[in-house]
Amino acid sequence: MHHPVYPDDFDPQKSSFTNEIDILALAYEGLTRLDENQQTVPAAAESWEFNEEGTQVTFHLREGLQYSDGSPLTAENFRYAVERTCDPNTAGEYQSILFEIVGCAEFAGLAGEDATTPAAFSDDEYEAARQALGVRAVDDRTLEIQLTNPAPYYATIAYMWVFYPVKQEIVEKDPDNWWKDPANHIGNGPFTITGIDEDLLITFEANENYWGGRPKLDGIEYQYVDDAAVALESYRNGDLDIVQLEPPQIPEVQNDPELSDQYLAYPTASTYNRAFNLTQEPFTDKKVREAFSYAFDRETYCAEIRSGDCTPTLSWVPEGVPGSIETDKYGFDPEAATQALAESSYGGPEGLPEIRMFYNSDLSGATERAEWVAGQYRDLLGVTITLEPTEGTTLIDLRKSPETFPQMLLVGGWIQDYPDPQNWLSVYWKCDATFAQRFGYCNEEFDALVEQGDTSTDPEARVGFYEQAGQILVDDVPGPFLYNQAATFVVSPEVTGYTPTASDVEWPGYLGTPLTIDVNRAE
Amino acid sequence: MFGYVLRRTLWIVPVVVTVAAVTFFLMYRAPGGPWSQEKPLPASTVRTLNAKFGLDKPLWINPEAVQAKRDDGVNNPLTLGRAYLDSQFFNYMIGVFRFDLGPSYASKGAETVQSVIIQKFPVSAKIGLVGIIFAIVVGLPLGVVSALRQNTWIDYASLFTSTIGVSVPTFVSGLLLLLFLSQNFGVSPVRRPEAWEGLGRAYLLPGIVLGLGTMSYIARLTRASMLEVKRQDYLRTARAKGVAPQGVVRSHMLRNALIPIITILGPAAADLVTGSIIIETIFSAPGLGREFVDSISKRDYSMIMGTAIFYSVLIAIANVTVDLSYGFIDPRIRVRR
Repeated sequence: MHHPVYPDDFDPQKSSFTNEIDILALAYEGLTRLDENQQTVPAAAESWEFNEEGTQVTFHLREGLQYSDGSPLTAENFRYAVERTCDPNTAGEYQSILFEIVGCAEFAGLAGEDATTPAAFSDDEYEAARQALGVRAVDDRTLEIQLTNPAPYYATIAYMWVFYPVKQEIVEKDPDNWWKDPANHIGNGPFTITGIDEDLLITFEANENYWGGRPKLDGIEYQYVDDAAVALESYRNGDLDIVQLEPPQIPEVQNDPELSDQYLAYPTASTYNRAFNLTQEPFTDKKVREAFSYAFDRETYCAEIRSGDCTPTLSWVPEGVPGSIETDKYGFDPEAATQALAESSYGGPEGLPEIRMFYNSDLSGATERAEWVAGQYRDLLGVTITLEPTEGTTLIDLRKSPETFPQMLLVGGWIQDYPDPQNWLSVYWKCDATFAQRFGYCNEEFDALVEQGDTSTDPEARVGFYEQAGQILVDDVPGPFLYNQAATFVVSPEVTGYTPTASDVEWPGYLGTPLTIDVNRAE
Repeated sequence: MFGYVLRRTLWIVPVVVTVAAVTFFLMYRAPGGPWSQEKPLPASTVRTLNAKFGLDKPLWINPEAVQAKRDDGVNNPLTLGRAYLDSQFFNYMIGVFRFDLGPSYASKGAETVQSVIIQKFPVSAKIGLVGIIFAIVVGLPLGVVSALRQNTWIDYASLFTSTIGVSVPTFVSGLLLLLFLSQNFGVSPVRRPEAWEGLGRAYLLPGIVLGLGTMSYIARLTRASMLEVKRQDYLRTARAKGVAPQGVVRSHMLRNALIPIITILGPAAADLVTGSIIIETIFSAPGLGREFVDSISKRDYSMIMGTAIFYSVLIAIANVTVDLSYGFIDPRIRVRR
């Protein structure tokens, strides 16, 4: 299997990128997992229940769980995973995902918020905060988690990598470095890591001790090849079975009589929008935002400019995730666009202030895409847009606060952490959410609805609240919704038994079907 | 002579410090930091990370630390001086002179910069070595032959090759060569990790592609320089004395023609050893060049500083070596004692 970028680290409680997660996801497993329909299903835990208020969740582990080396796996190992995530000394990138566990935010926050004074806490403070953490291994097979607020989505969060039960005695020997040695990766996933060649290769072998039985494949290799053309050539040569494609390669693959049959594309759980700074003119005016939504031809953009690696959308929560809605509001309509701009407080294109569109110039083809988009607005709205190519990290830095947030971004967006509408709506768009604050979105009606959704324990009622909230988001046009990014591959016909889901960004089926994927070599 | 060598060598120190200071300054002018990412980290996490790596200290000088020490009743000027320099820049530079280039932030401190350099640089160096050997072994004879057979088909063929070698960028020539070999000879475009150990065959292709430009340059330079020497009086004298044609070429023409080539050889060698970034990407080689470029976009401060300093030392040494080697080739340039 081909991967373009070798990860910086793959330590469950520290990692955050998909190229790190898909290594860990083979070697470890959380309390729950996502199946081929992105549903949360039992994994290490065979069942779980919430108390009536939804503020406590109890997981019941399977009997006789073992690590890959045959040693027993108990609730205590999962408790340690939670503790290590919240530990201020770990300082992992997904620490905050567990801040709804009682005491987690306080434990992690011992270092303090103010970056100008030295971080200092005594051993006693540390120990007290550690003890106060609301997670407890009741017995070998029962794990109890206290939550600060009702959070029915916690069973889904329990699938995440921060819950992967690393072995305390291994990690504590060398907390920063342990993950670099394959011998230290004693996990509970369907495979075990057997070889790590930095920048080049990671090898896996089937884990005989996995509770769900031995996977069909004897082993998997992740080969790291930076250059997309070289990877594709290697695939043609028969050295790789699955290769990630870059957008410019898609037409080449589709026009190739042999490769076109092996092309695989499916939408991922990521939504992109044209982000506006809602505190800056002219995007304070909803009519202007409407005009910019009407004046963008998503179909042509995805089909031609992005060579089919995206699917147009007009709403935020992607299809397949609970709470997603169908809408045709503010879709491509040049006449409505001109009219909306005429109705705005600026009266038409002449009255608008200068508009600058920022984009990440590190991405290949970004300038061409930005020029095409600016061309649409020029031709359909008569608006001249100044392009601002910006280096990636600089752009991230600009987005830190509404004062510096770019007036208009070619694309902003969200990549799902876990398939629950709470992750899509509450984490991003609530008035007090880091993201919404950065570009100045706040709608109290929306907040009230998602809060009801976040705290309700009735799954159907929850979805109802989220759907209404999603509709408000569409009506407000905070930043026109554009498309869901697709994952694009070539997959050898010898590979069988996999089902891709929207969460599988790195290769099709790594979350849902690692047990059944197989290769039948034609000799 | 020894004094001269020492003087030239010591000059490396201020050069490196200047490079470090400029790099440091520019690095911090770039917005964002090592913890900048799409989904932002909580303030407490950033704080812990900053404290862990000393990024909470001031950039250049730390008068506050001096004040704090004074308040504690410390008056030792050495302690106070150290406190004054308890800043990100000086802490880093003090580390550098102890051969400690700091932790890599991208790996959250799991790796140190020097361990990355020790691990990755040999690969870049070996590619560069193959490149420079190829450039000399092919470029020099090519230049000599075209000078001796000026305006014949050999000369034109050499001109043609050199022009292509200089003007086709490595990402084109490398990729073409790779695709050609893969499609016609079934050579796998991606090497197994074992292939990069030792000086295996894996280094042949990237080395040649890397050396192509320098090879062409050397060929052209040798030719021009040979032609110039050819018209010198001492050559006519040598021939008139009845020295054999090979002898004329070897001891009179080539030796004198080599001066400008040696001049470019030092920087070219440093260039090849440090400049294989694109080659490393195309050939999926686990070298240092890729690491350097990645570290900039990741704002991996210590990695940027460490590699910049390492490269500047290499280039400085190459230049000093070239300066010193003139003396051995041309007695006229030999330095005064």
